[in-house]
Amino acid sequence: MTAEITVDGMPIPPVAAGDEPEGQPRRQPRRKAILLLALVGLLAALVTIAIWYLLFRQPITALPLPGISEPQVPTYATAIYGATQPFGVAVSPSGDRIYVAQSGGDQTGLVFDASGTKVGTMVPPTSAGTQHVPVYLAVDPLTSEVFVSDRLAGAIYVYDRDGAYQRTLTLAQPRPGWQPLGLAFDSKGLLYVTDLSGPFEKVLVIDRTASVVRTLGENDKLTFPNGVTVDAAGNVYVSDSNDGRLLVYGADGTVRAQVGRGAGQGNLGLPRGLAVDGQGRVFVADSTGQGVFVFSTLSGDSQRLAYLGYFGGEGAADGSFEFPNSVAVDARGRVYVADTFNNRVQIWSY
Amino acid sequence: MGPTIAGGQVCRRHARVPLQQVSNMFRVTSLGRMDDRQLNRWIKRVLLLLVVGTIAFAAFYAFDRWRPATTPIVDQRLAALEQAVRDAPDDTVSRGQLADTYVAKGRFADALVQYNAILAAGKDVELATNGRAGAYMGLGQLDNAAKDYQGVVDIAKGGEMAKVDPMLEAAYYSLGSIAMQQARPTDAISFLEKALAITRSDADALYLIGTAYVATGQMDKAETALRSAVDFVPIGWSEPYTALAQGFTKAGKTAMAEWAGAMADLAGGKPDLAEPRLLALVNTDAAVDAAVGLGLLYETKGDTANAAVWYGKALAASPDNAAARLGIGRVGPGPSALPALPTPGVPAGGTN
Repeated sequence: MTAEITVDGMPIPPVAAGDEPEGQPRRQPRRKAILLLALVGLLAALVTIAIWYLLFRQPITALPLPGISEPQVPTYATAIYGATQPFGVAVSPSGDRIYVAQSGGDQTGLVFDASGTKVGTMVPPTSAGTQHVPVYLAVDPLTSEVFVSDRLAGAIYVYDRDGAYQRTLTLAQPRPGWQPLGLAFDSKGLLYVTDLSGPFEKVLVIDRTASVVRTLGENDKLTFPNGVTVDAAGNVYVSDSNDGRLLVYGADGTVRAQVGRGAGQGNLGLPRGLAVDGQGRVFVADSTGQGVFVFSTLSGDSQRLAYLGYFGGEGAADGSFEFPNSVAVDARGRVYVADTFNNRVQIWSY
Repeated sequence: MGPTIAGGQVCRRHARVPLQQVSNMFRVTSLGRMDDRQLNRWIKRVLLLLVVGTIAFAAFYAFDRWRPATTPIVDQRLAALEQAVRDAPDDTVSRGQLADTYVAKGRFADALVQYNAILAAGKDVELATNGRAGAYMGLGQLDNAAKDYQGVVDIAKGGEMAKVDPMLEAAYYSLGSIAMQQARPTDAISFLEKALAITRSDADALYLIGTAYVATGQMDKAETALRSAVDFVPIGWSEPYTALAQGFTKAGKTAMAEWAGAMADLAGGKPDLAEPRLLALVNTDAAVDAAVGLGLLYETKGDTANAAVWYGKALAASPDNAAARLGIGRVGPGPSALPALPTPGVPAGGTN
């Protein structure tokens, strides 16, 4: 039983097989129907990809489709010049603001837009004295404010997204003489700070009321932990820089995995800045390794970080580094590396 | 009677639908009921949508991903130095930096012009000669390069700092390298011994002199030199192991040749090939080296516990084995547990 076809409400009489024009292959309409279906399928795929891209803004290579495999390491895209010995780098999730801590020149923080144009400067208030060296930065995911550590001044300064000074972070229980260094936020807004002061170097976890709610590394003899970052599962990655180690603390505070100096892939020299992207990758800026190591984040009960690759190499050419110190990622598959002694921030992209 | 599809063929057509009555299009509920014209029309429309959509999306994607390119740092520097030389042609420092930058950019012929200008002025002769030798190397003119490196040696060997002069060491190394490329291993050994007298830890010179010893049949010396080279760079450098394998094969040391071949696999990033080869050697003359190799292999894979086991086995058989001691020092103890930590505070409000 088939439905009667109508056009403008008028029934269309059936056409007998033999009524088809001479020379017209009988299979042609069927082929055209298949072609039309294929085109509609392609159109649907295009619309799906476009919607996916608008939602996630990830490179096409990140599409979870068979036959498409995302590259393990990014490729060089461009560089931002205008910073003197950039030490720390952070970026807004959309990549429209790039924050740089200069360890040379006038030792201020700089704000660049996506095109690499300087749009602001981050300077502590004069009331905070004149001796400042901005070191690392982190962007608060809840407020878009930029937190800048200043080990010399023993302070963390807070700026708005365009670089205007807002306040100095004051801990609920003051820690005189503390030496904040590496900074990171988790998705809930908890601030992770590496602190070089006191009898042991450690990572402080600070909540939104500026109270220290956790301390990591009490028993690990950390030596100049420079970098800290947190993955989606709550694992905390800490670069134990002068021991050449990357330690991974589980959500329960135990060391779940470590990568160190040695002969293996991902053999670290002087790991400094760290970043985790939304695709489950950990980036480790290795100053003496003159590049960035890429590992996968810890998954399940694994006690190992899978080595994914390395990019960089020593030099001044595009894609080469001179003592890279810090790394940041945006939410669009771009990786930003403070190429300290080439006086630039390199942008790499998946 | 409705439309029929016989043998998968559409066997009816119907009247043309006016274009302006778009809504009527949707009254056709089956592709099988479309006539040829309708199908053509729809194909054209969908194709047009697909093409326009693809172009639009590609343009948006490219614009969204694009970041403006910046002038590479070397080009920035090159432009500045060229301007400096134009402004002050007698400034040999800028000219030398310009020549060095040309070499870095692979513009060897341009570099030669600048080095020749410096040498014609009789200034910075050692530096310019050394630089020009590098430019000749880049151009593949080995004889000219050797002549200039010998010139550097002649200038530097009588100097106060000759025994620690890195430029002199580099000149000797380069002369050795050229000699090897010209199949003169005996000459190469002479130059490389002088280079190593200045810098004993130059792994490249150790490797090169090792290959020269292999070429001249001095296997004992070759083994010492090549083992020293891989002590400095144990992983990621397969050439010294390959040279060792060749030397051991020449000397009839089968197990050691197999070990060196396996290590070349490991160093070349093929641990899965190396593993069975090394495991097969644990009861042979190459047992200690195989154990160290397995330690390195598991260390490479991130399996530090297993690496420590194999380094331990190597040390048990040979307590003074430096590679095993270094290895076990690197892998150390595994992950350690920490006391449970308090629950983090609840995020609320802002920091002050």
